[in-house]
Amino acid sequence: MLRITNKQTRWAAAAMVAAIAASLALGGCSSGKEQSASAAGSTTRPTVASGKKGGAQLWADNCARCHNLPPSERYSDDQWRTIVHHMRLRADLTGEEEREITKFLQASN
Amino acid sequence: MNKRLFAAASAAISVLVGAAAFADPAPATQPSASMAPGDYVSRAEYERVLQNQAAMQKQLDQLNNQRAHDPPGNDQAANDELDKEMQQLKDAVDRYRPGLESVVIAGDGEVGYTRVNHTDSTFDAGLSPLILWSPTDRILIEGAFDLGLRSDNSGTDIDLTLADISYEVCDHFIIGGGLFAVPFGQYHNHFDPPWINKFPDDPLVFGDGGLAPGSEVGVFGRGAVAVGDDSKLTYDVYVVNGPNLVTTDATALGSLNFTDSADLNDDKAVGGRIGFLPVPNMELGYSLMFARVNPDGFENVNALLQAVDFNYRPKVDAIEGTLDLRAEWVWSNTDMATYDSTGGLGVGPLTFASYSNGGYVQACYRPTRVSNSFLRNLELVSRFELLQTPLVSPAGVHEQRWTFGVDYWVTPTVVFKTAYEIDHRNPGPDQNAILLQLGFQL
Repeated sequence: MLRITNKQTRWAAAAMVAAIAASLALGGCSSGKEQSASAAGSTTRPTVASGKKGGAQLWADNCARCHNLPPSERYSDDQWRTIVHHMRLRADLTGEEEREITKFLQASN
Repeated sequence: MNKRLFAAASAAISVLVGAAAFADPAPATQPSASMAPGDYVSRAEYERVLQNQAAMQKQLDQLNNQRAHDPPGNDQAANDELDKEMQQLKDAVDRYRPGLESVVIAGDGEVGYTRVNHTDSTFDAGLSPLILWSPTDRILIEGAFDLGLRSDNSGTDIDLTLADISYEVCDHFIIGGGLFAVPFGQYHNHFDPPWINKFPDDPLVFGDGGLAPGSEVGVFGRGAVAVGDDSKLTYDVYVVNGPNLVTTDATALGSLNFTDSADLNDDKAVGGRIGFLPVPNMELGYSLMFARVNPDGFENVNALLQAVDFNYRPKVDAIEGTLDLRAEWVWSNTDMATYDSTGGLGVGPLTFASYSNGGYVQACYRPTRVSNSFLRNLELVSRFELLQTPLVSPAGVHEQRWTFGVDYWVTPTVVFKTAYEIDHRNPGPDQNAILLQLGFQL
């Protein structure tokens, strides 16, 4: 039988806060949404920065772990943007992963 | 003699000339046997033709030379420019649409059949529409509700399950508030829609009467950051109303009520989850929630909920398919308290601390790489579960369940599920069951 003391609770909470702080320190806090919006229209095909995973691979790594891919033609470009934004909350995607997966799905519909 | 010979030769020449006059003309490229002396090309004309040919050859060489020196991507650049213009035109059209392009109505539904030992079999059905709206790139509004039939035939249940708004602060941080799916473990956040869950029912620990919260009202912050090329760290923190301690229902004394959204005291529950993805397709997580759960007027009772979760989905060539492995375990501890101290509920006084735990381990296999399409759409599923709550409580139970089943994927978002459950309960009779369900995405 597991029994947790208040001291252990505090340690667990402290570890969680430290991990979150480390996350923000590692990742910084900038958004690629502005760049993405200004670049919209520059190309209709997904582009991937050198050394980075493409949207298809990111989809396979993050989304396929839980579910199959709904038919991509079911949704418009704007709807895919909304859906992947929703999945970013559910699946804890980064902003960059959200943008790449969105491009992949928009290019597939 | 000479005169006769000359006359015969003249007649023969006349016949030949006459025959030539009635014959088909010779091809222009062939020299004609009857060409008159004036048809011959003069030397000057021949030289002029040669000069013209030389000038044309020079022009052709210049054109070939020019094409050879053009950049190879010129055609691609022209196509890209055309794509860009089309996209700008599309964006311009989109700007004048009536604001509904960013609205999505999705969700899920199910039709099921359940036959449990010692109870009447029944069909059931439910829908869970999900409404999403992203008015700007950084803002998302979510709303969802469950529509289901009441088991006592008294009508339809409507439960609001999501009503929240969130704002992207940056690539690694989102804040929000409202009624949201609590990131406690992974089941409610990821796996419970019927077209995602591999089984027709919820695991005991995440179902009705389980140990884990589903949706809560409050505020949250969450995000993720890449660690190297293949690893990722995720985090979630929240402050919510939290669960309520049951103190007035004699059948559930000492358990936690996760369905009532209103708080019974002034303290709020705090919690969070840390997730780590060491490699793609694998995630490990630890969740924590701490709350004062007693109603005002009752002695102070704190609850500490913890959970660990794991999921991994490898493709295995040796078995020509994909494995889907998931496991979650929850511990729920509440302080010592005395319930029904006056005996008014007919069961007290009862004094106990509640130490409960439970979880599930599941393994599924789908032969995704075989050539036969029927076999490729089948999935074999198995799950082991345990739920232990204090037997001193009227709601206490020790239950162990094995579930085995076969799913058939009609489409990527429609699945027909069959399962058989082998159940052992204490107290109460075992509840072996046959379950069928068609789960689908809206």
